[in-house]
Amino acid sequence: MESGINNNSLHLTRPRLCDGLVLVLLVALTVLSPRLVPVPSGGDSLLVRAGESVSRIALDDEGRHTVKGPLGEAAIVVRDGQAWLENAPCPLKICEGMGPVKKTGDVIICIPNRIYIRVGGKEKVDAVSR
Amino acid sequence: MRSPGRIMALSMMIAGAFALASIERAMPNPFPMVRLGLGNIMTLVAFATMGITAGIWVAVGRVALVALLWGGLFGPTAVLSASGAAASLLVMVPFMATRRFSLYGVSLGGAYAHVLGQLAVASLLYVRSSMLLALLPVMGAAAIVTGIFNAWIAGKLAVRLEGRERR
Repeated sequence: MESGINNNSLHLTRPRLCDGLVLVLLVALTVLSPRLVPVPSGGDSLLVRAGESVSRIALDDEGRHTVKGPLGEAAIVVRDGQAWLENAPCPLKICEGMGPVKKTGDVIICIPNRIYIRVGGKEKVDAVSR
Repeated sequence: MRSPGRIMALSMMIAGAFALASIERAMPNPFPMVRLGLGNIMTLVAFATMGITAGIWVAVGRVALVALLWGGLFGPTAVLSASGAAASLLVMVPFMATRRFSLYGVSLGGAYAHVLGQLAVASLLYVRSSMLLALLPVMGAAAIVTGIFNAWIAGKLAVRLEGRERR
């Protein structure tokens, strides 16, 4: 039975010049990308958006802070100038693994539960959600 | 073109892609932002051994199966998975068509486009802020590594598959 597999892929398994160009381009984009983002001010507090509501939590305000999204409540834990999410109600818990954050510009995102957290940043600039 | 053998080979590749994607999903992942993109290996194998159309089928078939079986056909996870796949196809197909790239370039371009597509759709649809750009250094670097790794594996698989056919 003819299988539909053609015997011509050998040339595709060896790197070529254009592959190298792509690699260089992507490495450059990755390395330079932090410079493309304007650094938000106010790096000593968290900007927390849960759905439509925006709030701030200082990074020296230690303890558990509850945030509520459409799926339920999650806890933002602040300790030693760092913050992370716990008890997230979303299925994959990607957001819990995104912390801890501490540097200005660091983000924790929970897309299913619509919770967006960033170290620093102004509400005015970011509250473009309507 | 549409011989039973071709359809069978294509089905096996879609099944393989689905299996790889499922294994990846089930594996514990210490860096949840970073995906290995193992399912894309079969897309690359299909590109190499059966042509561009077959590769598109494998990618679309995998995403549809994963969305159907692993939940939330229209949930954010499936939307982001589909937008990543669409973005990577938008790069991989033209790359294949130019015939100037090996699997390495195709895989790299596809993996990076997957990240960019997901970040763009997540930013526009869900977060509505540019804050997600902060994730590009980590996710982009991971895409470069996994893109090269997947191309290497896919190349080995493709050569093996063809070796079997020659006997």
